Amino acid sequence: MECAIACRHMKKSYGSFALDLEDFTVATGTVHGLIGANGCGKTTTIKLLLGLLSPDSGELSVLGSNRIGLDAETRQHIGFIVDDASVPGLLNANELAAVLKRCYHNWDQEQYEGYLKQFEIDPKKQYRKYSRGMKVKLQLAVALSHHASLLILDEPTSGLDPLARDEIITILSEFSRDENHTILISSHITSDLEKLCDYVTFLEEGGIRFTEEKDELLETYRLGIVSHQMVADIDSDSIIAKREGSFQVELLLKTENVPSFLESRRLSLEELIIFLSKGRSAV
Amino acid sequence: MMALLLKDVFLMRRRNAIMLVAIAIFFVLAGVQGGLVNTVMATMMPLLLGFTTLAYDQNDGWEAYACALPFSRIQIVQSKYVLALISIVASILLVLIIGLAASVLEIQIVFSNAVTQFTFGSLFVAINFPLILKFGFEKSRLYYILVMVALMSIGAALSTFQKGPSLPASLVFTLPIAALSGLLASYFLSCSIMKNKEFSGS
Repeated sequence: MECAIACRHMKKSYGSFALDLEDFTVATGTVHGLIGANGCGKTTTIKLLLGLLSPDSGELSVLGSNRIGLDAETRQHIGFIVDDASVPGLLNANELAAVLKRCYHNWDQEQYEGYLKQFEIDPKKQYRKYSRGMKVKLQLAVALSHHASLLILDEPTSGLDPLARDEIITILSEFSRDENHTILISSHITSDLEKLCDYVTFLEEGGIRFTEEKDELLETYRLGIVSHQMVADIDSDSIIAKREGSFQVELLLKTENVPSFLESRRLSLEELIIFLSKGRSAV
Repeated sequence: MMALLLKDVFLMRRRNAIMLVAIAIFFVLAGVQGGLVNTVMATMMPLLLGFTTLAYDQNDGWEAYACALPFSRIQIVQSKYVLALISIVASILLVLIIGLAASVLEIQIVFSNAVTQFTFGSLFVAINFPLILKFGFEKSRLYYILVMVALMSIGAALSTFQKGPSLPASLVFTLPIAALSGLLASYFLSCSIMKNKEFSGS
């Protein structure tokens, strides 16, 4: 499978934080989600992939380029949204387009104006006067208006209302229908990623806890809810994680290990991540 | 690079009228009266206008954004130096035109003004740009005020030893060459700083 992004043994540390990506790949034509709590390394990973940070060691390849920070030509094909990097606050959307069409070879003014209309963005209003949602939408309009083949998006739906989030997820879904289009999207809003992603990577304390195909991951586990007395009837080795409540116990089990007497259900991605990050300590 | 220059023009267009009036006053004073303070201020004020684009770039997160766009980091540095050079040359030409139009000053003094403007403007940029790129505009604010005061003091000290209203012939050639050398060294230093710059955020 061709990789749009590949990192091997990539390490980066600053201050007390250390990121260590042993093996991280994003296949071309897929939507790949980066999940994890605040401070787990999502933004650092994305900044490394955009060349805003340099790895201390290891290999990094983005669209075939091993030196993405120095490779402006490859960045022609990348659309991005990244935390604490933004367009000039005093510029309006029209002025921004005048700047960016001189920067991107494939700038599509018609498409950009179409997005501005769709997002109801006033093209003459200064960027700094937009709401958080409008700012994200404008950055997304930029990312989608130069025929990029790879989108790298850091928390694009964070701080947005459900309607705006749904609108963005729909647009990204449409983008991902082209088999040459790849999206890497980070978020701690796992419900958004569940709708969108083919693969998910769960980051924890600067390392990869797992990378899985999303549907397969959700099929692998089941949530069983039992009374405290019934827990003893279940093979303790098959319990991956558990959470004890006042009246019942929630158990995370592999699907094949669910006993026939136990009522179980599929978990949402959010429930699964919470279980795997918190519940495991309770086993 | 045109895209980056255009972005800076859009930013500078937003500056308030008071700043533009102040710049115009110093142009007229430098052209009509000459004098070190007027001449230097006529160069510094437009340069400061350009410096504010660096402050906006860093505060808005544009510096990082631009580094992820298809610009090379060298182009980002180049655009700032080109903008500064345009600003210095435009200041020199405007003061020259006003001086000649007013016909108050001798050609030798007008020429001397141009040398002073180029030297002070170039040194101001040469010292401050690497500092701003390395430490950020906020942290460098103190340095660039110090640089401005130091340059003005050196100029004032030199002018007390000056015998006539214009610069001695030896300085007319050596000062611009020294300033240009400083500007080149500063450019390469800035390129090196920018190449190695990391945007880890807050």
